Amino acid sequence: MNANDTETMGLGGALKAAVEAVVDNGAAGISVADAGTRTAFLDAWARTLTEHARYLRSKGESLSAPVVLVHAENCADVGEGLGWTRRPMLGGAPTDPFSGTLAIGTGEIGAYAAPEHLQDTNVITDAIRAANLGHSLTVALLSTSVLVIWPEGVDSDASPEIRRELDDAPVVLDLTALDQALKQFYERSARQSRTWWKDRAKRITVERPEGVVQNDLLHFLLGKYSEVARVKAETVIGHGRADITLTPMNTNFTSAVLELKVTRDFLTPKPGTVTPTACSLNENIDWAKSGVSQTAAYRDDESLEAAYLCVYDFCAGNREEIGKAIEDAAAPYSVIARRYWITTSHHEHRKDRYPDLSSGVPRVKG
Amino acid sequence: MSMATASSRLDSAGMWKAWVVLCIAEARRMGLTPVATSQLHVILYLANTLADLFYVTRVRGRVLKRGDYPFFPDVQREVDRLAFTGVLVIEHVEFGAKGQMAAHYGLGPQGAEICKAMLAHSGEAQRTARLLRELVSACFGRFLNARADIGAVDANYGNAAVALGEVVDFSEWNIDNKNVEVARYLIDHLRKLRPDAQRDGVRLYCDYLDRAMAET
Repeated sequence: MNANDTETMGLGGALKAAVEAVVDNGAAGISVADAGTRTAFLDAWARTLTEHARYLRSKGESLSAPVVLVHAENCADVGEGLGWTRRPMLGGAPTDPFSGTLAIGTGEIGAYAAPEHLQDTNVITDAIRAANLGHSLTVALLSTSVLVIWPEGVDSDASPEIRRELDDAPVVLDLTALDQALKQFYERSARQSRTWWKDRAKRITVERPEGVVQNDLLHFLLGKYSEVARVKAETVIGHGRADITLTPMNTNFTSAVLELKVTRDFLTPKPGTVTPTACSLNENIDWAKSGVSQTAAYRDDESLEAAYLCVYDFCAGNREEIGKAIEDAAAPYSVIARRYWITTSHHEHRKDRYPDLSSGVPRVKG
Repeated sequence: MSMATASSRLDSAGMWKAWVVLCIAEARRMGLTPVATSQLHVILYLANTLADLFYVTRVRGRVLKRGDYPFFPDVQREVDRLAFTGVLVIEHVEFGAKGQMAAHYGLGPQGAEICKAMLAHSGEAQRTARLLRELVSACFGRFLNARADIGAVDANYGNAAVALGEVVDFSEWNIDNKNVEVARYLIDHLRKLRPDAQRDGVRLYCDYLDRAMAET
């Protein structure tokens, strides 16, 4: 290495070849969230375990027992409390032996592991419950072909698991794939969500519903695409913050920005108050349409390829007006507008999907 | 020694102690303690060089160029004091050549309380903790578990313009903070991937160190 190389770059004692190597392979070094957060943990461990599965497949080996990582804000406090073993290097290399490991971690590497080798999913689930970790973000490699993520923990009924099928076929990120992923999220996690409602009977959402939707969708997209793209929330663009951006590591794939809007019949009453404020259809339409210029501007400011406006519609009746209004507003700006209707119950879901059949409302006894 | 100098040293000692406690606390939180003496000094040095990225006021902008990695003898005295007062705990000690000892530090119960109080009351402490969290995560995830000898490849410390035995100066009065320049160079060249100027500045610089150390 010639010292003059870096002097001409004005970078002191830095080695030019190493600087250029970081630039050439930079995508892997770009973060999606602050260290220690759930998002960064999910992104890192989903990638590490996916790479581990690929490594085993390349050697013609199978995973002899599952690998499960659970997130904690402070894994030392929890791990020491459980008497688990400190493993500061766990996750350092995807070629390490992981099988039969149940561990609790905070960052991208390092964790506290249960001292015993755990042979199957039932034993691991029991151990998670015994450790009182059933409601913590969990990432599990179940075989060399299946990675499963429980965003709210293995004991959460409210948030469905995210499955990543692992094989050696390339993961593609283009408009068709992204549209399908959004549909999949809608069908599996959103349409019959139990966690987005505060009072389903009165059609009142949780507070800050857009933030809750954003969080769930972010984790879903990370589960699907962390291997091929940097999926980030709240990226600063111009004077605003984009709800979700997808930046593929492969430049042949499609980059996109997603703007999320929630429409609803009532604003959630503030704590200490009981009266919900009604939102009219026109107010909802105006609010939803305001996302068109936001997402188009984010796309253009950052030279992204696609701009989505995703409206999660909590209003009664699955009315088409909001969908029609956003599509009309979006078309001149080449924004892809989608409306996803959120139901309050299985009954409402079935009645909407199968309108000509019996409603299926259970008869009241007595 | 003038009153002003003595006062400044006391302030500096207090800031160093705060940084050391925050650093060990962040490492512990992620399951990465104990932290060896050499690892601690490398993290503290890098945090000082990259402090501008997080709008954190650096404690010191100079280090003597001597040895394989940046080392602050006066800070080590403060670390020793923290260990002997129970703020830090020495989890084990390695004995090297020529009677050298290297302690590996964890966080004592008092340290945890002090850390909590600092974070509850100081925005500067929160920003410093965030910087240290990123550094701890980036360094241990890459080169620092195996090696701390960053001296030859660190942009400031390894700069051929600074001879051995001279002072490496990256203070605010000196525009030559090469570590930040490398971080900004990388951020700029990866602009298309929309890096975060703060945390990715730190991560990409550590990524650079990892690759550079693999070459030496």
